[in-house]
Amino acid sequence: MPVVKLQSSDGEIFHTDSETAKCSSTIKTLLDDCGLEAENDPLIPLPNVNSAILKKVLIWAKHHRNDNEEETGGESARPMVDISAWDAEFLAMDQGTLFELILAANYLDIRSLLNAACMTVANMIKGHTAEEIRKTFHITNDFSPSEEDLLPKEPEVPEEDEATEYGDI
Amino acid sequence: MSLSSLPDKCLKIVFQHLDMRSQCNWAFTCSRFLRIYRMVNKNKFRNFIWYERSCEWSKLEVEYLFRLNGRHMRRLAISDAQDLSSHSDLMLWSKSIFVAPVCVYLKNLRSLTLCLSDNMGEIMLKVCRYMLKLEDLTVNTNCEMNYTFLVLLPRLKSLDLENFDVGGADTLFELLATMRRDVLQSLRIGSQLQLKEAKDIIKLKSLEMLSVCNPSRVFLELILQLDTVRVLSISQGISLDDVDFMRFMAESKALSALYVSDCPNLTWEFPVFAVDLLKHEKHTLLCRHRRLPFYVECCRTGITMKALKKSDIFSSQELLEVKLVDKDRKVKMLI
Repeated sequence: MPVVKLQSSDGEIFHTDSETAKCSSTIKTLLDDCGLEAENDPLIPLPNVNSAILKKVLIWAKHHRNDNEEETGGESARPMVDISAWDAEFLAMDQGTLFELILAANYLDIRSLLNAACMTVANMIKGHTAEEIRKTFHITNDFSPSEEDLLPKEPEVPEEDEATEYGDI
Repeated sequence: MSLSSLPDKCLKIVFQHLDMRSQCNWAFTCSRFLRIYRMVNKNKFRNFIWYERSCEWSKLEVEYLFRLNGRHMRRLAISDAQDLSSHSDLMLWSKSIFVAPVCVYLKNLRSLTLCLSDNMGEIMLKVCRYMLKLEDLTVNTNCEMNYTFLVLLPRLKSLDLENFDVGGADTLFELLATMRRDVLQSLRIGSQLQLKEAKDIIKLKSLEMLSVCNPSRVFLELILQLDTVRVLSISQGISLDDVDFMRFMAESKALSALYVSDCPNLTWEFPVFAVDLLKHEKHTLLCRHRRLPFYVECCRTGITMKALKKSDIFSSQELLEVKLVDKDRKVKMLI
């Protein structure tokens, strides 16, 4: 099996098989379309992913490399699907790492990982009040005390043409 | 590294994995997340059926939801039915307590359906005060209600009230007849009306669809004066018989569809008469106001399949279509 070398932002080089590497659509495009695969021992620099995160991404990719793309989410995010036990255990990490993993999944275009990680964040939000969510994620409340910002800023919706009123129902 | 440092694209994916209530709570944490909420939900609430169980929502959360999305809503249906059926052994809050305070955010609503058990008086006052663009209103409640204030809704075209109190205090139809006689096009009242109401209803000159319950013979004669009615629906027509329907059809020149339920004295003679009448009208060009074929739908009437099969109306399908249905509107026979 052809070996692909991936270089993290801090210079560490990871050896992996091309099937695992191709879980990332970004790398797949580089290998397939840009003809890198034809080269001997291609080296792909990944300046946006550090070695700690890349290591985790590769563990994920190795576990999921045989997944059918259609089963694992395919094109778009599918809300409200349960995370598998392996994924849940894998994604049980501190917030900072989880967010970095999301960024890496986004950059490398690994939809199933992006989806599962985002769902993990969503599960941390579910069932909590706005104040509790602010505390969990250290979000600063930047609304004015009068809460005026919460009301629609745009002017009143203009009177729409009656003919198109129910057009997109 | 924090949640706020993720790009919008990733936050949108997180967002899509949240339920409606959590989305709202998240949106109210900071202005950026609020912007994402608005971006993702731009047209989502245009037609909104609120079926989620309300017992998990706080009053503030409900206000958040409508504050964020109310002005985008065009059609809204709120019902306690889901709550009642899913947890019949638990006492749940009715959504009624949430509705009145959020009416102020629903100024652009065109269509509203309310199936609630409490607090309806206050809710209706708010509806009449704020929802001035409302065209279509359906109310199903056991509360004793006075609907007089509905006359304040200038665009109300379609009104459906399950229970109308005929005690005398409700002057809705009297006021509609004097102030807004050209607006209402469709009216359904699920309870029996008195002659007093009928005398006002016949002044509504744009009424095309009328649905009434257990009308008396005199009532029916009165509404004959409504020459605009194209669709008439009669439930519990127990005091009416073939002659009443024949007379109504002969004199109401625009009538094109008739729905009758629970009318044991309506028999096969009516469709036979109807075919003859329509043939005659066609011959003399009198039927130009009707839409043909004339449609009759019967549920639990004296019209039986056997009698229909014997009659010779089969050959007149271009003039008359008769459908026999059971109480769930399943078709038993169609000719």
